[in-house]
Amino acid sequence: MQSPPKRTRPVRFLLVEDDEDHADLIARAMREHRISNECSRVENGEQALAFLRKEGEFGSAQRPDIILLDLKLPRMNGLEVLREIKWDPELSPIPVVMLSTSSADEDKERAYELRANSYVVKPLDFDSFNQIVSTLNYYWAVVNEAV
Amino acid sequence: MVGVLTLIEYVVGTDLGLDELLMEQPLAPGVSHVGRMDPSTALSLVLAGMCVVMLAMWKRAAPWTSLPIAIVTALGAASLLGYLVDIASPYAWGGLGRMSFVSSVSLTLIGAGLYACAWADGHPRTRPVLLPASAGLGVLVATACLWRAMIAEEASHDRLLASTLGEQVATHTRECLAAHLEAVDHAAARLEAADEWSEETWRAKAERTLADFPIIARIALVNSSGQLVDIASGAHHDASLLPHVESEGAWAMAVERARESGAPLATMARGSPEDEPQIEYAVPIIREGSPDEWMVARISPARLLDACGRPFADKCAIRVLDHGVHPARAQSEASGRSIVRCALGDVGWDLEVALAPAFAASLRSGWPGTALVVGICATLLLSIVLHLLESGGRIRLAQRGLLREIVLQKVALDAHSLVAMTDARGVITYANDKFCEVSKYAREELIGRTHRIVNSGYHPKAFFVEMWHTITRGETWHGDICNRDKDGGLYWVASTIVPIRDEAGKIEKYVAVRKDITVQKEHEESIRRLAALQAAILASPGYLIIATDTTGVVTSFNAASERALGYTADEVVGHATPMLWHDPAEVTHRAGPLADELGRSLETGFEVLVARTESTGVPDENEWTFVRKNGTRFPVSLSVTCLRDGHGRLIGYLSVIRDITRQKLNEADIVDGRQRERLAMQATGVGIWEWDVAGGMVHWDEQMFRIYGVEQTADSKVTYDDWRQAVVIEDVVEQERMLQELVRGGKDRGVRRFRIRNRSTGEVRVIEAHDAVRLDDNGRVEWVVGTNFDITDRVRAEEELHQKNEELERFVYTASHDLKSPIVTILGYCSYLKRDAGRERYGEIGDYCDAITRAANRMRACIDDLLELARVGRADIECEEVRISDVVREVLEDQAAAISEAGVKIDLDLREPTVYCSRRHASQVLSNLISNALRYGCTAPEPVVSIRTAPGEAGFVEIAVDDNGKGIEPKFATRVFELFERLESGKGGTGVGLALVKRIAEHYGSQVRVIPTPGEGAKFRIGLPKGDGLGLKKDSSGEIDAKPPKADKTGPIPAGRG
Repeated sequence: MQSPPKRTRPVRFLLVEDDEDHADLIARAMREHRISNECSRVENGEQALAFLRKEGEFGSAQRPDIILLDLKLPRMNGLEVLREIKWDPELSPIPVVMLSTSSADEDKERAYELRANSYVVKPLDFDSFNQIVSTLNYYWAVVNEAV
Repeated sequence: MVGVLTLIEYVVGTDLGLDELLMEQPLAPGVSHVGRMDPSTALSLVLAGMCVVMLAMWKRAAPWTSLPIAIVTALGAASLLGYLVDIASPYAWGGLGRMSFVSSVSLTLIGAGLYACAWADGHPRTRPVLLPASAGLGVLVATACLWRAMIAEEASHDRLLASTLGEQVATHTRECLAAHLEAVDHAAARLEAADEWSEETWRAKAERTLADFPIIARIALVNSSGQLVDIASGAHHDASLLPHVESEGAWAMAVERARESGAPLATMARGSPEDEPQIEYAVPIIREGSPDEWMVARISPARLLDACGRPFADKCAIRVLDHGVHPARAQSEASGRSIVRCALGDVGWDLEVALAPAFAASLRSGWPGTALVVGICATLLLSIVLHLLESGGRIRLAQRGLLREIVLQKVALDAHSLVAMTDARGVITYANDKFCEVSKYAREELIGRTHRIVNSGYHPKAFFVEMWHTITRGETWHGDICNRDKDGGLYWVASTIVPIRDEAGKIEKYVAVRKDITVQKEHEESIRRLAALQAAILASPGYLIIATDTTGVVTSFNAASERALGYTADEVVGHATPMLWHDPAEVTHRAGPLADELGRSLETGFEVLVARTESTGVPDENEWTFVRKNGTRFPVSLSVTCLRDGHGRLIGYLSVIRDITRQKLNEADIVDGRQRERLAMQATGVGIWEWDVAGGMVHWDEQMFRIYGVEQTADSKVTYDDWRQAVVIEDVVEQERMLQELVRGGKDRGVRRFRIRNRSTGEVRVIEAHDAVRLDDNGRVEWVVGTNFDITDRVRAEEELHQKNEELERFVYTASHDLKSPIVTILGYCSYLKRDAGRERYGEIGDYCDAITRAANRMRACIDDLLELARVGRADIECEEVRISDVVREVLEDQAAAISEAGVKIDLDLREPTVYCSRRHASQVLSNLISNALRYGCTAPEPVVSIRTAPGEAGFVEIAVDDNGKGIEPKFATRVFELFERLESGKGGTGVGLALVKRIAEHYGSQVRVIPTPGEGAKFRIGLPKGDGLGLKKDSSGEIDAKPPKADKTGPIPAGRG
């Protein structure tokens, strides 16, 4: 495994996840992995967009470095949020990782069509979760360096 | 106008003030001579003006105007000629023909121009007469003018000559007189010189003088005493006697005058008024001592002039006129004589000098006469020449017309006929274009050959032998010949061959004129064929063919008729009508309905048979019963047609009759077969149609009428348009296109599927159609036969199935998401649990277990709901009368904990007490709607949930569940009913509830909807079948149950379900 590149500041995550338990699991995985990241969580698509656009209650929100976007969300599903993000010239550079319980090809294709940067099937065990978070971390670092 | 006025002035001699008017015009001085125009100018202008007006106004006047124009031209030309030969001054008749040089030139030109116009406009027929006449007239007028002018010129010359001669005579006379007077002076001088004065001496001298000068008539002496001594006579007069001699008075007067003047003086004296005047010359005789003596001589002027004029006598005759103005002077001048004044003494004498006729004649040049003769000759010549020229033109014109006509006739003949000429041996020497065209040979190929080249071999040799016999005899031959053209095709010509004889009577050549009658021959041939065909038809054994005239009398009766009816043709033709073999009762029976159908009265009889075809114009086919001669009967099919001539006039009827005895026997079988077929079709529900493409008529079977919902017509006929109108508008174009392709291509395009609107129910049905075509002999589609099958139910079933499949797919897809979600949770926490247990760290194990339990519960609830959802459409659900209040109470009891927790006020208004549906469904609907209201709608400070029922659409009760929470945005109005769609997370909903409600509503053919009023709370409406209030289960107490939750909604409800 490659050694993680040196970071200048903590990576800011935005987690869009309606399920409390899933959010908790992801947060635990991050902690386990000792990724001292800032992680903000919103519950649905509308909130996510409001957060990104610093609207309403999220007026003081900081622009995230990476977005973890659940596919299935109340009010506005993940794909719609993804489309909004990628059509917004301000937001489109932010890498978006889709999270889903579904491993159906159809979902993956639609996500990539809407220019998702990555599509991750929610793993069913702890190790996998850890693995994913680690990968994300690495992924972000590469992107950051490239920028 | 000025011309006319001027002419009037000349002719009438009055002064119209024209000169003053014209001359006072402010003309620039020096530009021109201003003056009255000459009479001939005026006349010419009048004529010219007249002609111009006539030419302009009256086209046909053109020839006649040439006459006055000729005069104008002639006057102008004559004048011009006069100027050219310099005889203008004493012009013509007293100067009337005079005109100025410029006028003459102008008028000549004007006249010539007008003449040209008149000539050009003139009709060719009048030209040969009028043109020479007018030209002749013009030349004549010009000649006359010139002639008169030349005469006048000559007279003028005569006058001049006479005057000159007169002057010579006068000079001579004066000289002669002077000589005489000198002689007298001389005599007087001699007397003076005489030494002695004696009378005798004096007398002698006087007598000698008289003798020397015979013109001196007398010499006398007046002595001092005043006595006059007449020397010649010797008489001696005393002066006192003077008074006695009156005639002598003049002497004294002459002396007296001479004495006064003091010099010799010649004076004129007259003895008496009757006497001839005499010249008296008194000379004083100067002598000493006798101062007053005078010698007086008397000379007769007549004798003097006579003597002096004698040398000129051969040239002119001189007459002495009295001195002074002579009244005849003008007359004398006019008549070519001249008056010359001759001064003799103190008196002037007028001498009239006339040229001697012989002398005058010797001066004549003869020009005027020549001019006149030449002019007249020129007139005649010109007229004749012009006449000939014009007539010649006409003849040439006529010849040209004739030639043209001949050419046209030839053209017509060439266009119409084949013309050929041969020499006596039959060799072709000429062939016209038509011959070449019809025979297809080039002219070069025909010329030099005989007619054998076009021989077709159709005619026997004898035919041509006979032809040659005829024409070699010199007779014209007519006949129709069949010839062969170059390509081998046959053509018929009607030929006429004319032998042409030379001057010797020998046949020189033959001219053949032929007309192409191929078409007529073909017609004849086709008529022959038709006749043969007709004969064959009439001979046909199967059909009775009978023709009648308009009244019904039989005109033709074929052999089959004879056989079938037992009558012979001779018996019926010209005698009988078809009523002979018709059943009279049948005819009478049918007359009534037919009369009603045609709307006119019918005479029972022959008219009944033909009335329909006569009024419709199409053949009328009917079944009748015929009676044979022997009384037996048989059924026939009779087709009647009107026979019409070329102008459409009815000339009779043709009946074609078929014996249908055998057919009748078969018909029963056929009907049975048809019946079976129909039953089969009815059983399958397939409709059959037939379409007569040309006629546009469509035949439907019963099933078709049922499918289309159209009332069946008596003959099962509909039109193509009937079908077209039944097809729904969206499908018409496509279907018509497919049918047209079918008709055009004649190929079966396979199955068509389209929608129609059933006419009686208005319902849209889906039809599946199969087509087959029947072609006529030309390969065109004659009939289309097809089936229609109502597949609406099948299509609906297919659609439903399709819908269900889609729903199922969606369900599986969403379920895979949402059902997996708790598993992810469970497995995730389980892995933590396992790890912590392994590390013997138990601090968070409780949390893990809680999370796992939550997830498992959620999954259970979700699976329950999904099962409910799946159960909705099941067939075994029983419907019953459900009291809504019961259901509401149960739901509220279940939710009591939540209600009390949120402090919700429940508002009930159940106007419609019952619904008719599954009790379970009613419960699920209300439970889901109410729990949703409690879960998501209780965000207001004073939350209210209202449940109402009201009459909805026909047969439905509308149940309304409203809250006063945040409400639902319009964009989610349909989405909320989708499976696993949640607007909020963490409220414990499974995302199935509203999908279930929707499914239940759809199960009862109703709908559920939400009124999107954001900020005013969510308002759900669902319709369920209305109950009739009967058959309620008595498990709940009626009246009180109507408002059971009233108690509940105010008081806190004990916690029930968690």
